[in-house]
Amino acid sequence: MADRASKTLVDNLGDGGDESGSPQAIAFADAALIERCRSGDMQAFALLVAKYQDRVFNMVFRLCGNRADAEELAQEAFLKALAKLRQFRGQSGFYTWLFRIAANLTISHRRRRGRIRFHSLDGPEDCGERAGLLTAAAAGRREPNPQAAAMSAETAQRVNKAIAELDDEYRLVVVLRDIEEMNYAQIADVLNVPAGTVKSRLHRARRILSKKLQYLVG
Amino acid sequence: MNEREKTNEHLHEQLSAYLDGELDARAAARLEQAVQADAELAAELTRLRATRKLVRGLARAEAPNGFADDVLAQAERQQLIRAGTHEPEARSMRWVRLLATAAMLLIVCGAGVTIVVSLRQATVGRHPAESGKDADKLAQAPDEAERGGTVENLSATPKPAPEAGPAEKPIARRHSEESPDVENVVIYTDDLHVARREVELVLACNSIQPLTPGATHLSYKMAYAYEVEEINPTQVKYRVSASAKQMSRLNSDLNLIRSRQRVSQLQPSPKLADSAGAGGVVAAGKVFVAGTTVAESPLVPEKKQAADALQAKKSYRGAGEAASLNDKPMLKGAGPSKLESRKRMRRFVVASAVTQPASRPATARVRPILITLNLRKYEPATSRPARAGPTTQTTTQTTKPTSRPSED
Repeated sequence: MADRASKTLVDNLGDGGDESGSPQAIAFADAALIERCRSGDMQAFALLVAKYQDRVFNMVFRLCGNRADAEELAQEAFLKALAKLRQFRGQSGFYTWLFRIAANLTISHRRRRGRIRFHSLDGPEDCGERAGLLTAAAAGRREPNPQAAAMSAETAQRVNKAIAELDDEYRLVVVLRDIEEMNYAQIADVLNVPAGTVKSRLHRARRILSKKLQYLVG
Repeated sequence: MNEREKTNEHLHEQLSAYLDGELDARAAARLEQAVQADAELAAELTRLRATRKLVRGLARAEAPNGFADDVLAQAERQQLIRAGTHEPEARSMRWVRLLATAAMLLIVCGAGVTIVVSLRQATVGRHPAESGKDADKLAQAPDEAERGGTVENLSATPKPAPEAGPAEKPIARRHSEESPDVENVVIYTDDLHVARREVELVLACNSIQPLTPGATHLSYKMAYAYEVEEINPTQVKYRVSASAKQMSRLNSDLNLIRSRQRVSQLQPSPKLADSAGAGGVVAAGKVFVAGTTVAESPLVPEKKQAADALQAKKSYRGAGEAASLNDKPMLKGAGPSKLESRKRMRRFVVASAVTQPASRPATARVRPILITLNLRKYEPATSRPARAGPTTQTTTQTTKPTSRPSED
């Protein structure tokens, strides 16, 4: 079903021609899909899931550090978004709204479960990520930074560990900015804080990370 | 922290934003100049850039295969569950809850208004028009007992003013015993001070607080309370507002106080005193006479009162049956001993405490009670032959004005 949804999504977005990748086109596509979802069209919801599943899963995984929990939390985020879709008024982007839901769920989950445990990339449950990483690197499909594929597993593990040790508020801004590549305004929208707060939190988070990764940073 | 350190800290905070391209052109240019001039700032920028690069170099995690299928399957299952339980109307349930809360508030407000109205009727007094009507009735049949005490032959008791009519109206307005809703409890005692203490203790034990002189009307409305009025040295009245539950306990306790008194709790009838001598009593609107004489009370016009009294006497087979007589008073025969009579009286008064005036609405939440303490001279049984004969006991009296006994 996911493949079918993805194919349909690609077909739909392809209808937009050259403007299909622009924020306006994405927003327009989101608005149309949301409207169809509100009328009970599950196919439209399948398109939204296929469109954002990787980004949501990635963010949740970076926040909670556990692949199984990330899968469960990401699914819950989509289901919650579907249940609350009538409350979405389009004042912010659907993507930031969906991320806010996912982030809140993850933080609540983390508070329930205590400190996160980051599983090694060498662990059996992260084989899928490694396989996906290699596949993505090989295909050059969606990897903007070539050095990511070249980063050693040990370095990645240390970086992940350092991120996992950050407080929630710092880890969130780091993930949203450096992994999800959101701008400050979008991060402020997701976290519902002023942009100045995002700026100061991000600076402190990076300083903490630079101290933790001192031997890597140099 | 001096000015330079503040500026330096501010520049450090700008470094991340500079790296992310979130600074405007002017701020970026100022920061670049500062970085060129400050080696420490430049080193910090280098470290932050390297850190950012490391984090950005992390591989993206992709959703596992079948993720979207699982989400859609769960969504469809939830929709089916909602359809089965009518959960799509969950949003309207919020309105239902709001409406239910509003309804509860209305009910509470209504109850409050009812309590306030009942309290006002019970304590503040009836409407001037109504009370005036009652005062007129009172003027026609003045109850000297209400204003002059119950025992006229007490040498220590000052004789009350004999006047009636207009002078009675304020008292009649204050005393609401004419109201059919008022539970009238009369206690005769030979020690008014002790009886007052006992009554006040009982009220306190039933969580009924005295209304202090400084209390506002609002504070009176908020709780069950009572106020005391010393009519004269031989009579004290307690106007009490109680709940139905308090009322039941209070009646029981007050009857206990009554049963502990050494003096008779029977209210003598002046008419009978004139016609048949001492020992005539008025109870629940009926006249019972010591000995064999039965006459009608001048305050009760019904002709069948005496017949009822005789019927009550016939039907009396013991104190235990008195409770089944409803308001019929128990006639005390000459046969039982004093101790037995005492026990019977106690059982009777407790049993009769549950009787309520028929005119009281069953839904009334606040019950007005008027407790009247009357000083009565204690006389040993040997000096009061009339008490050896058949007598009656009662606890609940009518709201009609009664006559003051004249035990000459």
